[in-house]
Amino acid sequence: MDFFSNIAMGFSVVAEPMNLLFCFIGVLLGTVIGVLPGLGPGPTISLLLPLTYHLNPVVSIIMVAGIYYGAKYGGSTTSILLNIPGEVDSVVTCLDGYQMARQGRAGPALGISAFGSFIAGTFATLALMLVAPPLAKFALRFGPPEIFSLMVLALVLITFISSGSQVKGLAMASLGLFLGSVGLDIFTNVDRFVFGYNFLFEGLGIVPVIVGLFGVGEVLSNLEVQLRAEIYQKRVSHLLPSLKDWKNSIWPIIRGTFIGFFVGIIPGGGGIASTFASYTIEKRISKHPEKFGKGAIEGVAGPEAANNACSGANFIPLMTLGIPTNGIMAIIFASLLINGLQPGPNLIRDQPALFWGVIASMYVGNVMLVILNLPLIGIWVRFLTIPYSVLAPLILFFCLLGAYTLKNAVPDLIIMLIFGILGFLMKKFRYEGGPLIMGFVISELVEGAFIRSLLMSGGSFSIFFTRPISCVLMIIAVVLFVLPFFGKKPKALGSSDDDG
Amino acid sequence: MRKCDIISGLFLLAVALAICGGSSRLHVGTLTEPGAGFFPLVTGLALGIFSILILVEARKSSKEPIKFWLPGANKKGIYLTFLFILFYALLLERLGFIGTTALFFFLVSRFVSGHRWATAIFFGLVTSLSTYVVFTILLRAPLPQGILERMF
Repeated sequence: MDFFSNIAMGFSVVAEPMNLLFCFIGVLLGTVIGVLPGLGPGPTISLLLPLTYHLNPVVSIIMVAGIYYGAKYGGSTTSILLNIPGEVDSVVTCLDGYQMARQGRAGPALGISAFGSFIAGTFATLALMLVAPPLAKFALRFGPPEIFSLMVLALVLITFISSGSQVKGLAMASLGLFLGSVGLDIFTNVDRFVFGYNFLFEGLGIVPVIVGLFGVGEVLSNLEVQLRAEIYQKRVSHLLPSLKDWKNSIWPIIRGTFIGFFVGIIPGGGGIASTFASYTIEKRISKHPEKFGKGAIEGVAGPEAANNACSGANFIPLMTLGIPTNGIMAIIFASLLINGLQPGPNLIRDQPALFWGVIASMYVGNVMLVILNLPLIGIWVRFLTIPYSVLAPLILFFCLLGAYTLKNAVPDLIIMLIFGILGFLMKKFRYEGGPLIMGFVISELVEGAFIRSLLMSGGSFSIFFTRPISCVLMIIAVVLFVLPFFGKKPKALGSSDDDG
Repeated sequence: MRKCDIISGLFLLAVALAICGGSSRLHVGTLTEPGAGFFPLVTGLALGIFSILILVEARKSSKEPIKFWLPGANKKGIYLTFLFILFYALLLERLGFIGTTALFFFLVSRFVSGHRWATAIFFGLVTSLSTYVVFTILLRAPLPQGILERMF
């Protein structure tokens, strides 16, 4: 009964005009930035972080979530029509989607991708609703050692699954943890690494760091080589897939949904890992594997479903355990913090309107996305013609505005600039931004849990191995850390946080 | 790739040493009574270990030389963007929001994006004025005042 009353409460929250409006703005914005190559959900959400500060937390998280899953829908459009993934998770859709467009079947490709995304997104939301509350209840039993071990495991996992080098990822996570510790110490109130600058007492702000790393860094990288591409099929018609298309796609959609959901729960399990897994499985079990890469609709339907199921599932570790599973989730984590909310097991208990409202908004948002994506496809195609030379000054300006207006402080602009250069250099030297941001946002939590654990145990590290849950988490973390040294890292998987 | 990894590995090692040095100047404390420098020291040590591992991994990475800039890279655009953001930060509270934003927009549109003078000026004025109106009138958020703002 509780379950149904919670759902009813969620829908009553989302039915409020303001929430409905911002859900629409979120999915619309998500679709637009998903369509536009060179502007992913990460930079967009980071640019909107200061705005969320002025909004009610429920409204802002509904909008931010809408941007995240909306971008997944939009990302497929550019993959199919331009062979350029609008965002990194849609890379796999290029393989068969673009080939379908070349054969004049862009309509069914876009159609099946929207319907597959809708089915998967709705399923993931339903599963989120069923899985999250019991998981959060379980996590409430966690003490400081368990929280610390869980965070260590999350950091190791995100770097283990990532496409790049694991040690580089872990180095970035360590740097992020350090950067998060700059400012006043939470235990002793002593200032750390502020070098006499008063503005550093509160620490490096989340907004300038994220906006710099993902916003400015992204623009600098895109400026180096500007994206130019020809749209293959400018006029798109016959969006509704035929009966044969549905017959070929329905099982890939179902399988993709399950794959995406389970990959999405794992920290580090980004959209790209799930799409690759879905594509590989579909190709392997297909009776006509030779058709893959030449315009097989199964190669679009499965990965698109996986990608969207994954984005819903990504909210489970965030809402229940307080773990951001990838770079973009770390930014959503930051937006909760900015609104004075601590993501984690207490969130569902203390903020039921927020939790159930956001879930209900995902159902509504998915319906909005199908309506937005299919009839308005012509408009999205037109968006593709906006040159980056117009977008770049606008994005840079929003970065400046975002970094400045949160505290009206010029030093935040300098911090943003420094992190912009860092973001650019990290791309050049093949370091991922996700682990750094993740380390940065969870730094205070990790330090708190670490110091409290040591105080509990009288200074002994054995506390992490003598408590059963903590011990299991630590052992998994150690195994995952050691595996790549024996050449066991799964090469096929990638992280989704490259774009944000 | 090897050269890139060696350079970045050495840089991170230097950062790790600086973090450890800075942390030890704070009160590190003991395992039973950790001080303010304890956690930063742990992160510095971890960064140090991982940067050494990056250097070890670099030995295995391909020797194929990778140039820092891609062929035909728009280096000028990147340097100018950096410079314009710095100008924006330095001028904002002196010149006011409208003037600085219009100037920034004009400079980026003209010299980074390569728009025509008239387009760049138009973009700059429209963006700065409309944002000022939205922030001060609709959101009631204060923005830095200059000569132009005092005219409103």
